[in-house]
Amino acid sequence: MKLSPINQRRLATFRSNRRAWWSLWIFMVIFLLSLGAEMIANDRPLLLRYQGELFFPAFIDYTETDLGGDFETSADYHDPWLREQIESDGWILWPPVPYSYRTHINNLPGPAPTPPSRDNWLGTDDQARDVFARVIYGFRISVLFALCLTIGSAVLGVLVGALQGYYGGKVDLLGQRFLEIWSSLPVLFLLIILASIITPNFWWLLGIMLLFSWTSLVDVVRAEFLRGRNLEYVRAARALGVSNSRIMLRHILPNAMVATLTFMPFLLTGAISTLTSLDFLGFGLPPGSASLGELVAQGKNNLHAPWLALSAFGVLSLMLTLLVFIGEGVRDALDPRLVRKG
Amino acid sequence: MTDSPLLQVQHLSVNFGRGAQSQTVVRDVSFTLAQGETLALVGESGSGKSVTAHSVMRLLPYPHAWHSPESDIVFAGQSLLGLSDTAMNHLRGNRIGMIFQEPMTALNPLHTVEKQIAEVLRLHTDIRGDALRRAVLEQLERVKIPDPVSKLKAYPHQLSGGQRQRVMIAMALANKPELLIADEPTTALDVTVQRQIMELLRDLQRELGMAMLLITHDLGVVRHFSDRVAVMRRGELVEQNSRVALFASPQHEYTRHLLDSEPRGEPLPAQTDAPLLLQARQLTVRFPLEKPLFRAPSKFLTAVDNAEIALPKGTTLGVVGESGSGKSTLAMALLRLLGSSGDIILNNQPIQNLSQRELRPLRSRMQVVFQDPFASLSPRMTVQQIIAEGLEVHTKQTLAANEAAVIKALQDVGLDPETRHRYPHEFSGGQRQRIAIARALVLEPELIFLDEPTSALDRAVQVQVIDLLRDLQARYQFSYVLISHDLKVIRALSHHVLVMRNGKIVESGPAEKILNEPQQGYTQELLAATLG
Repeated sequence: MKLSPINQRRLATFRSNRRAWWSLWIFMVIFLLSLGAEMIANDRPLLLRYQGELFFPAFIDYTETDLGGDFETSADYHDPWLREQIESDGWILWPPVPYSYRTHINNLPGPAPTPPSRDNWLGTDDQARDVFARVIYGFRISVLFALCLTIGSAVLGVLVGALQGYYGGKVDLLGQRFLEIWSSLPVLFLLIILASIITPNFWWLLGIMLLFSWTSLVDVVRAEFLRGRNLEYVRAARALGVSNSRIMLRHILPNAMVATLTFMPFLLTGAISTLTSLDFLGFGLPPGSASLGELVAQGKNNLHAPWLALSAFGVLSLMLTLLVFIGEGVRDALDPRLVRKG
Repeated sequence: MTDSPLLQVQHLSVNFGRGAQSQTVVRDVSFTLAQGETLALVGESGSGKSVTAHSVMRLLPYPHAWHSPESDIVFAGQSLLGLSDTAMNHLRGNRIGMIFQEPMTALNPLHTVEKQIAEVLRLHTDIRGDALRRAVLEQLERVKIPDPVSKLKAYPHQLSGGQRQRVMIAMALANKPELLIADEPTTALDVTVQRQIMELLRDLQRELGMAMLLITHDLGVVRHFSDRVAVMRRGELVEQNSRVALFASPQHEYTRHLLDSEPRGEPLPAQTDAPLLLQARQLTVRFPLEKPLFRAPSKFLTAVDNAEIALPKGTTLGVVGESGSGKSTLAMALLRLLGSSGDIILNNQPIQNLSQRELRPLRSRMQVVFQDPFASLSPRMTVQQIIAEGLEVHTKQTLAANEAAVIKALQDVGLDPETRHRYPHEFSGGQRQRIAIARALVLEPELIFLDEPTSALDRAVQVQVIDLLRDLQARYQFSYVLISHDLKVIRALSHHVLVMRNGKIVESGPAEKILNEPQQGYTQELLAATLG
C-alpha cells in the first residue's frame, strides 16, 4: 500500500522525533516478548525427551502416567521424583524463568515474601509466587486489556460521533443529551455493585468499562464531522450523488481519524491506569490472576518487602512513560501546525 | 518636504528556511516611494508582493525568514532592517500604517470598534479619557462610517464588510502615518463597496499627504488609483514605470501578458428554439432564524425569494449579485442540496419532491464546480480517485473503463493524463480548477452549475478557464448556470443574465440587453461600479 503524501510526511515527522520513535520500538519489543510469556516464564518445561519420545508440556497437558509416574493427574514438573524419572532416560528444556504467575514455590529459602535472588530475580510475593513471572503476565494482560478497550471505545465513539455530527439536528441533540446523562453515571460505584453480584473476569470488566469509556471520543469526532459535512469537497461529493455512508467513510472519516489517533495512546494509558486501580482496590480481575494492581496492593501491605512495591512501580512507570512518549510523538506528527518545524 | 524619497527599498531579497530547504521568494527588488505618492505593486498570487510589503513592516516570521546582507529598506532616513524591536514598534501603526486584505480576520472579534481604534492611539499618543473617545469618533467620521456614534460600541461581526474595512482604515490612519501599506484592501469586498473604499483611501491620502504602497492583483484598481506601478513576477521586479506609461506601452513581455489577460470573448451563438432544460417556478429558500423546541419556527431569513428560472439547452445563464444576495443558495437549491419550496423541473421532470434516493440517478445529469479549487478537492485522494468517484457511483463499469474515462476527461480539460496519480496539492490553482471541471464532465452531464468558478484564480488563469468552459460548451452542448460577482466573466459566457439582490431577482433577460441597457437602478449601479 502506498501512503498518501500527507501520511508520508507525518511518518517522517514521527520518526524524526527520536524519543517517540525509540519508545515505540522498546514498547513493541517488550509487548511482543510478553505475548510469548508462556515461553519465558512457565512452570512446565518447553520441551522434554523421555524414552526417545518428544513432549511439549508447555502446550499440551500430560498426565504423570505418560511420563512413567503412577497418578492419573497432571504432571507436576517441579516434583523432584518426576524430574529424576525423566532425566534418567532423557532431558528437560526449561524456559528462562521456571515459574508461572500462579506457581506457589515450595522450597523457598525463607518465609515468603523472599527478597530477589538468583532463582527469583525480583523476589517472591507473600503467596510465594515469583514476582518477575507475575510482572510479565501482568504487563501482557494490562496491555491487552487496554488495547481491547481502546479499540472498542474508538469504534463505538467514532461511529456515534460520526452519526451525530453528520446528520446533526435531532440526532445530534438527542445524542448529546444522552451522552451528558450517560457520562454522569458513577462508574466506580456501578463496578463495585456489579462486582458483588458477579465475579468479574477479563471480559466482564472489559464490557463494563467499554460501556462508559466510548464517550470520550464522541465529542472530537462529532466536531470533525460537523465541520467536515460543510467542506466543499463533501458538497461536491453529494452533488455527484455519492451515498451518505460512502461520504462519511471516504471523505470525512480520514479527517476525524487524525483526532482519533491523537487521542488513542492517551486512552491506552488511561485504560491501563483504570485496570490497575481497580485491581488495587480488589474490584478488578479475579483473585490469583497476574495483575499489576494486585502487586501494588501487596507492596502496600508488605512494606518490609520493598521489592514488591518497587517492581510494580518500575513496570507501571516504564509502561506508562513509553506510551505517553509515543502519544506525544503521534500528536506532534499529526499536528499540521508543527509539520514545518519537523 | 525633502527631496529624498520617503521609502527606499534596495536590493531586497527574502529567503525562507535555512540550508538545503532554503527558498528565495523575493529576489533583488528595489523601488522608491516619494511623499504623497501611490505605488502599486502588481503581480499574481505567489509573486512575492505581499512578502515585500511585509518586509517593510518587518512582519515576516523571523528568523525563519531572512534577508540577504545587501538588502536594505530606508524609511525617512532610517534603515529599518537593522532597527531594534522597540524602535520598530514605535514606527508600526504610528508612522507606517497597514491595511490587510480580510477585515473580518484582521479585527479582533471580541473587542468593540472603539476599543480597537483606541488601542492604536493609546499606544503611540498620550490621549486618554474623554479626549480619547473624541479622537476615536473623529477617526470614524473621517472614514465616513454611517452613524459613527452607534458604531463605537459595535463588534466587528455587527458591521458589513465595507464598514469593517473602514474601521481597519481608521485604525491604520489613526496616528496620521506618513506611509500606508494597503495589502489587497478591496479584494474581499463587493464591487460597489470596492470603489467606495478606494475613493475613500484616495481622499484620505490627499488629506493627510501620505505615501501609499498599494498591493493588488486587480488592474482596474491600479488604473484608477495609482501614480506609479511596479510589476512583480516570481519574486522579481520585472518592470517599473509611471501608470500612464505602463498602460500605454508596457515594456516587459510579462506586463503585456498581464494587461492582456482580461476575460474576453463572446458567448457562443445559441440556438433560439432549444428546448428548456431547467425550469424553476416560485423557488423560495428560507432559513429559520430561531429554533424553538416544540413548535415550528416562525421567523425566517428568506435567502431566495420566488425565483423564476428558465434555461434552454446549450445556453448559459449568468447569475450576478453581491455576496449575500442568495446566488449560491439558489444554485444549491436547484441542485436539491438545500431544502426549498417551489417547482424545479429538469428535462420536463419535476424533481422537487423526489427523495434523495430517487434523485441519485439524476445527479449525473447536473453537476457543480465550486469556487475554491483548494477546498473542493479532497486532499487525501489522487486525481484519478477524485474524478472516478462519480463514475463509481453512477456507471457500474470496469476499472479499466473508468480509467479510460478519467484520461479522456483530463485531456478534455487540457491536463496531462499522466498526472492522474498525483494528489491535488501538487497542482496550481488553475490546474485544480481544471480537475474540478473534469470531475463534473466525466459524468457527461447536461447541466453544470459554476459557482464563482474563477474568483479564486489569477487573472491570466481566469481567462484560460473561461476559454476552456466556452470550448467545452461548444463541444458537448453543456448548459451552464454561471454564478459570479464579476461582470466581465458573466459577459464573456452568458446568454441570459439574472441580477439578484437580497434574495430577489431584480432584473433578468438576454445578456446584451441587461449588460448594455440595464433598466433597474441596482443593475446600473453595479455596472457603474465595475472598475474597467
